[in-house]
Amino acid sequence: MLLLLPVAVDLLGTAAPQLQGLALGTASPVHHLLHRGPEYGAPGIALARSAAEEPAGFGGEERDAAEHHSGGYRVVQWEWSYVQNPYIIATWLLVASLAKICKSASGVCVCVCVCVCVYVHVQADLMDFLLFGALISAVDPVAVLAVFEEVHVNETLFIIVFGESLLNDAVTVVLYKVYISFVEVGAANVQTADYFKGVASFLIVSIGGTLVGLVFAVILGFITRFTKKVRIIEPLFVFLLVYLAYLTAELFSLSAILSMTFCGIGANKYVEANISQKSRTTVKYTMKNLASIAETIIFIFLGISAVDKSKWAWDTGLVSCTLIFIFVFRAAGVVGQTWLLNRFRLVPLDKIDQVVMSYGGLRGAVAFALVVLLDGEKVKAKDYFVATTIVVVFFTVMFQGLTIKPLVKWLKVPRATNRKPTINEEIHERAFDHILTAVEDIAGLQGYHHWRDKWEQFDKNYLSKLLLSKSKYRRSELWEAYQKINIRDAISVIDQVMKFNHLELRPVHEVPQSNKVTLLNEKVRRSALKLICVVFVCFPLVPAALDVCQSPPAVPSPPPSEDNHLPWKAGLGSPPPCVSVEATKIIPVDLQQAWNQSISSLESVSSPPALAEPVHPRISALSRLGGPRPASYTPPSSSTSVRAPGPQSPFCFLEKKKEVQEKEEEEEETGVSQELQPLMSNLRPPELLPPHPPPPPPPPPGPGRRRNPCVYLRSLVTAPPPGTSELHSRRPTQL
Amino acid sequence: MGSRASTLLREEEIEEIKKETGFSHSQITRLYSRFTSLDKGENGTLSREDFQRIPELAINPLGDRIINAFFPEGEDQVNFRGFMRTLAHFRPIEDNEKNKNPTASEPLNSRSNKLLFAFRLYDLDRDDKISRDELLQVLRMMVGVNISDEQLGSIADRTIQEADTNGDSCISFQEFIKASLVEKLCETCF
Repeated sequence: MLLLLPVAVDLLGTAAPQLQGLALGTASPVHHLLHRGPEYGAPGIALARSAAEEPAGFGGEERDAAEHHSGGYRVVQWEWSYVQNPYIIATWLLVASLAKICKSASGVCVCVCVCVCVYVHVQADLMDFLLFGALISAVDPVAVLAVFEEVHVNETLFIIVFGESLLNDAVTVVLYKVYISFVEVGAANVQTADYFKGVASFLIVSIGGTLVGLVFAVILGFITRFTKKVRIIEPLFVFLLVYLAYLTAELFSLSAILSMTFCGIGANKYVEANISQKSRTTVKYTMKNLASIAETIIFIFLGISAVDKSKWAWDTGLVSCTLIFIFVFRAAGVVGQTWLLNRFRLVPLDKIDQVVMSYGGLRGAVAFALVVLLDGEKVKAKDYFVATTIVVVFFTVMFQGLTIKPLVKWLKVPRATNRKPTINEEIHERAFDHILTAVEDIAGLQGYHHWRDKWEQFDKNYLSKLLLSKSKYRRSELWEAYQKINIRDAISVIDQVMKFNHLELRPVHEVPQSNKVTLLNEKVRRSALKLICVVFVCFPLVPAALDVCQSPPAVPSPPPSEDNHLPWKAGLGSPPPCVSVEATKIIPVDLQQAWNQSISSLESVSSPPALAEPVHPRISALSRLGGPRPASYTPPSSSTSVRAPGPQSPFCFLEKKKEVQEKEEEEEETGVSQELQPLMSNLRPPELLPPHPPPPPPPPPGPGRRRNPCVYLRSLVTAPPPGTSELHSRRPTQL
Repeated sequence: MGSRASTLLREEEIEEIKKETGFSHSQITRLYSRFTSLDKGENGTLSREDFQRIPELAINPLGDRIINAFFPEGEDQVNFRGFMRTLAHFRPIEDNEKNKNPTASEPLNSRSNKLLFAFRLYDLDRDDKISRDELLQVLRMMVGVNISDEQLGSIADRTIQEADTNGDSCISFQEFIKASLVEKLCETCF
């Protein structure tokens, strides 16, 4: 959506005088419609009117301020002239964004429709109409995105319509420029050579724009390969290079939107792999915010122009004909091209898809911008065109935008599926691809799978080596998918557990510092979520222990039994000795390995210094406990010692929860995070200390017995698991 | 061209193959020329080496298994009929076929036959179950050297647990079909 920002900037630049308009009434409903569907906020309009009055009010103050400028130093001054422009713009944006919040107040559609029927025949010739046709037929990516995001059609349909709107930038801009030059030269002077030049320029513009985009994509991918040490400015690289792709294409008068689109498409895979999770989030949300701003500005501008009567002239014939024709011809075009495409498609586009495609062709700001930029001298009918364009844009956006959702429901269009990815699908999808490729090779066909496989080989052997950082290059996609699925399940398990336990924690501990407990519960919860999420990637066994924790004997247990198909939950079956024996053997060694794996594969930990922060308290806690570390942890290379105590903490967390629930367990914890320590010290004294030796002099964390994770795990496992009644005698997933 | 002429396809054969597999006339002739180009020994049958000579097949992870699928049990040579019969599994399903002949046996390219073909690629010992080891083998072939055995084992375990409904820690054909939209994948792939 960066697309729209330059357009908006251009618009603002060229149309600055028009910003003086104050009628915001129409802009808010349009904006409502665009983003939130059929609900309007009448309060939004009131807000808009009051905002409109503010600038007028401020203008008056300025005069007062000017009178005071005699005399000496002023401590506080009224600096309206400095901030006027940005202030107004920001207020508009704020009002429009507030209107989005107020959309829930359902109101009547308040449409300020100014219908001035002036029957004046439009004076224009063929070239002018060709020009008008070129700019009015372009489907607008902003409008399409805004509407389809509400509707959630299936991906194929969305890609078709949205892709069309992106790619037809080349067509629109080229045709527009070609016809503008024809109009300027005069229809009589156009030679046949010029028509061919027009076609050639279309090809050059679109292909050239694509190539520029791809070049910048390669540069961007290459740069992000080396940004491991400078994670903080990774988003900057992304923004800058994409913007440069835009500007470079503009420099050579190629298609700038295509350039940006293909820069994004080309670089996506490599940049997403190379940059950190935080940078990804930054880029995504910054872009969304910028897009929101740009859309708001454009549609406010559109609304203002609609009401500013001096800018347009009405002709009923032109308007009505245009409305009918764009709909009819779009439908015809869609049907014709679909018929052609279906001969080559694996999954043909059926009638319903075609209906949605023709109905989803919304015109928007691009058409409006182009028509406003027409030269009134050369194109006499400009005002009529402006009026028609405004009506068309309003009509398609409002009417079609509003009704597309019910239409989609009525036609029973297949919606976007939100099914959770499963490891089965991943595996079988890959296997099927291999099978089909092999069959195509055997049969000598050079079909879709053949070329796709060739591209993937090329990508693996050359592109990825060039553009992916070394650690990412060696990752396996299947393992990544598996880990993602695991993390997602781990998070949902934790959430359920926390939901369950959060209710129990408070009544159980009626300590005077109840506020502190709840506050600490929250902190505990957050830190625990962080820890657990990181750790669950490589400790499938831990959730098995969690399962035990979850069903304490003291409390009636509603552990969600439908989760028993999850590997770790199902794993804790009948033979505890089997589990404990293997657990004690495997866990200590693999903790190290698995921890290393999780660190290298998880993006959330961006650099060693960042890693050190959450871990340090535990190291110090451990060292405070003194005594021998568990034998498996070989101390110092500093990085490994930083990592080594980490795995302790989830055990501590689990232990804490278990104790808190059960109270009679003789579990102890080794290292605790700083957040956990005060909680421990609060809760410990009354209930848990008596059975244990007194804590060592260095401050809190609990009793002195050092806990070997092996021992801990064994004790956890041998504790009777009440809630689980597993029939599977399967061993749990090993590391 | 003397010896070649004797291996040219006769019309009756084309008709038989058409009836059996559903391929069209032109498709059959095209595939026949492909068959002969692969058949270096010019004896009217293909051996495993003929298949392995195809360069793209060498880098395909499942290449060997697919080659095996062409050869019936225990044989080393496959003739054109067998070649076509196996390829017929991958012909796209056409809607008008569904209503043609309800009493005839299921066409080779029906959805369940396609899935059965894929299932048999996993299930080497033909016991109609994909065991953990068979799954591990397939995974190892697909994944390459970047993943350790333990990781692969955990993926395999998870896969079986997701799909397995009757608790025998193997994936039967019915479970294979049900396992998360495998059928849907089949529609778009083939």
